[in-house]
Amino acid sequence: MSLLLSGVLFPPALGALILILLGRLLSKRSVSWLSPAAVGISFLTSLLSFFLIKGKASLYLFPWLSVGGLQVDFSLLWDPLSSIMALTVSGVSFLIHIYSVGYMGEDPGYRRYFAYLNLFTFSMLLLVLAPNLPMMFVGWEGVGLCSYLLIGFWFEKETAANAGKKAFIVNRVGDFGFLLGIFLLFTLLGNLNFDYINYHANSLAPSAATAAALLLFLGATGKSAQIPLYIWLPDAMEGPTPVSALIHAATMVTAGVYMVSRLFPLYARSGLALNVVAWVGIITAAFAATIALVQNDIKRVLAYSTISQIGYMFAGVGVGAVSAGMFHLFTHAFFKSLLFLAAGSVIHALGTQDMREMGGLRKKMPITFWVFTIAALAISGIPGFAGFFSKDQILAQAYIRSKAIWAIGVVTAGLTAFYMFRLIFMTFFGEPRGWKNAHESPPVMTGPMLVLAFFSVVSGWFFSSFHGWLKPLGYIHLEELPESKEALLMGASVGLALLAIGLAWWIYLKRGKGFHTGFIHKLLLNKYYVDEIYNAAFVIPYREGSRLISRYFDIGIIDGTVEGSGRLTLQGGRLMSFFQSGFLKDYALWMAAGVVLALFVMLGRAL
Amino acid sequence: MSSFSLFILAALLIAGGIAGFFLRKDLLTMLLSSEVALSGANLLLLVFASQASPTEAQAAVLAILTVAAAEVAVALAALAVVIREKGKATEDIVSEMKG
Amino acid sequence: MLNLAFWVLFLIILGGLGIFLFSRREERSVVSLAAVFSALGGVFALMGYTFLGAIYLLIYAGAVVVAFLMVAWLVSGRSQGGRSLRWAFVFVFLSLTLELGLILTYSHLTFKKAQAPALKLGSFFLQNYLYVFELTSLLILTAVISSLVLIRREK
Repeated sequence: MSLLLSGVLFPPALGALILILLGRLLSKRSVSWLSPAAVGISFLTSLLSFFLIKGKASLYLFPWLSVGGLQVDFSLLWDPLSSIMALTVSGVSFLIHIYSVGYMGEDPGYRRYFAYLNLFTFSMLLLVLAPNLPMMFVGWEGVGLCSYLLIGFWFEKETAANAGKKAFIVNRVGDFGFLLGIFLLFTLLGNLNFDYINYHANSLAPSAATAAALLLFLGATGKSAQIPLYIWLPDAMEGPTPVSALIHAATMVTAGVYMVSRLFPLYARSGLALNVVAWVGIITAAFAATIALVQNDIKRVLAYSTISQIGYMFAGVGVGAVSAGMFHLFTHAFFKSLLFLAAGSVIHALGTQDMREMGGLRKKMPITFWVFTIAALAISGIPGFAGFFSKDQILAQAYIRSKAIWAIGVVTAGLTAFYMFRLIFMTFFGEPRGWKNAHESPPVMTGPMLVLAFFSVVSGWFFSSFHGWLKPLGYIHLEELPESKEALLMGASVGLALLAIGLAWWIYLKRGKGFHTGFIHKLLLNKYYVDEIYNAAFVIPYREGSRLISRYFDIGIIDGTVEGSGRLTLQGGRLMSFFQSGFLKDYALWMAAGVVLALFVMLGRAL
Repeated sequence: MSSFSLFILAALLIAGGIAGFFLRKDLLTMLLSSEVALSGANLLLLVFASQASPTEAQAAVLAILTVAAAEVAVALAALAVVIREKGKATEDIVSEMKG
Repeated sequence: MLNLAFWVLFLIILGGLGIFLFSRREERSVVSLAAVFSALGGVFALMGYTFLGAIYLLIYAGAVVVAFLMVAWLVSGRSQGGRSLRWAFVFVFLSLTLELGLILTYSHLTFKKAQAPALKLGSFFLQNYLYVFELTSLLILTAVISSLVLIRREK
């Protein structure tokens, strides 16, 4: 049975390999079949495994690293947590592959695009199915690489190339922490398998567990775009929109949440680390939501929304409700990728991302409009839609642990509803602003959107079975809340969301123009000047320091040494060339002189 | 035939070879002189080695012989080229090796 | 008797060296060296290295000197030895005959027992220094090819 797992992991790798090696020989049509099919097989096998494999299974392939005391096997792990992730990843990835066939149809880099997308899916599945930290790290780096390649997919555009570099460098900072965390765990425990770490987490000293957990969490803040390393994600929107949907909304950026859930016992061992996770998550959620309020680029609004929602997931896991956090990850994967795909559909039709140039698209693109509305309702937490259930669980659990986190969470939920409907009103309602003719996207694009819309509604209905499915992990636990209290909390957040929607309607539709309240608006529009602060604090000192080193150390000392040795050789050669007169007999003379000298030396020794 | 007389013979051969190398002006005999000196060295090697390890010494001389034969083949070819290019082969003709 | 043989060879070598050094003709120098090398082969044989002596005779007096002679003729532009060369040939011929006689006569009573018969030498090479042996053949091959390349006329 566990052999099925190789069917989950390897088809996308094979697809990527074929596309990279033979891509030029394949017709566009066969690429359009091959690449989605590879991911489709992967999705079908994970579905099969989901039903056939009961509980836990692992597939041992080969020993990968065996150095000293370190023994790392290349094997795949299928348990409740990874099965949920694998299903979500392969399913969403499959739909987005199909959507991309339509979206990227005209692009000259069609084959390259699908090669990267397949490679990404493989890396993400590797990350998910890894049974130990080093293998997870390989997947972790693999998705980072694909993210870099796809953000900079249109690398002839300078902003895209720079955005790719930014994402890569910021992630390096996080990965540095992640690596240190792995090293620390190895010195502490001597084994890097998740099972082993989780089983022995309680034998660690709390301070050691805190250090390891926080180092790993630094990696998670990089990959999952949390404070302080979130700055790369908004710029990552330079990539093609399906990429934003797949990598920068649904799958890769949630890897951090997955990692924390995986190692939850380690985090639980150190209460401090868990608190840090929860607070970083909820502050990021609120922080990003405020920025999203005023952005005019449709994809940037969604990017900040993604940061904010991932913050929710971390908050959920951080307050100890792993199943709630993972459930939000699960539902978010559907509605957020749907939001991106629908936005992509609009961008595809209009050729612009600026919402100030949109408006009135409701009539021209009905399907896009409706699926977008469904997704927006889901993310805003309107009862009946998926986001409501998952967000409500997180908030309820947060209420038990910390009222402050709950309060911030509820306010953020209101902000979320506000900016989402601001987006809808600016894009789909009102009068057309600056576009002539728009059209609905082809079925190859609307199809996946409709499927995702379906899941954006129903995926939220199964929380209790989801919770039950994760239960065998052993550390899944929910606090009970009195029914009346729960209803009250629910009412508060839903009421706030509805109020926010009404406010958005009043400001952007009734009044017809937004607020421009001076200082705060400017602060938000400029994203709290975080990029500028980072620039002044890190980038400029680093660049100037490098310049100094290149000017003095490099030219003076390194070049001086190299050129000096060259000059020495030259001078030495000039000196020695005295003996190289070019006449045969002179050479013979020197040789004979050498023999005579050697003889004298030997005689001297002998006497 | 004492070891001493063999030494004398070897010394004569080596000295003769070196003297030939310096006295003669044509490349051909200079080359031959070096062969003579080499033979002297071979003789010396055999004389010294016949006490300790005659088989090794003989093998070494045999190897030297082979190398020398190969060297002569290449050197003679080079010599022939020089003759073809310059018309004659005396040592003052070939003085382009200055470093 | 053996001493006598040695001194005869000694004298031949001395004479050959003298002719080699002081003759003005290249051909004469070369031919006299044939005598020197063959006499040296005789000395080796007397020392007990009979196999080596024979090889010396073959390779040096036979192959090497002849090759030199051909190049010498190439330099002087003549294809045959002149009149003045005749006595040198006579000298060489006589010494060669003498040596052969000496070797044939006394090969069974050298100063010592034969130091290392060819059989022993062969197994020594093939057992202890096989790679060196093979490398040597590679060297010869290289020498052959490189001399062919050197001598080839560009067209």
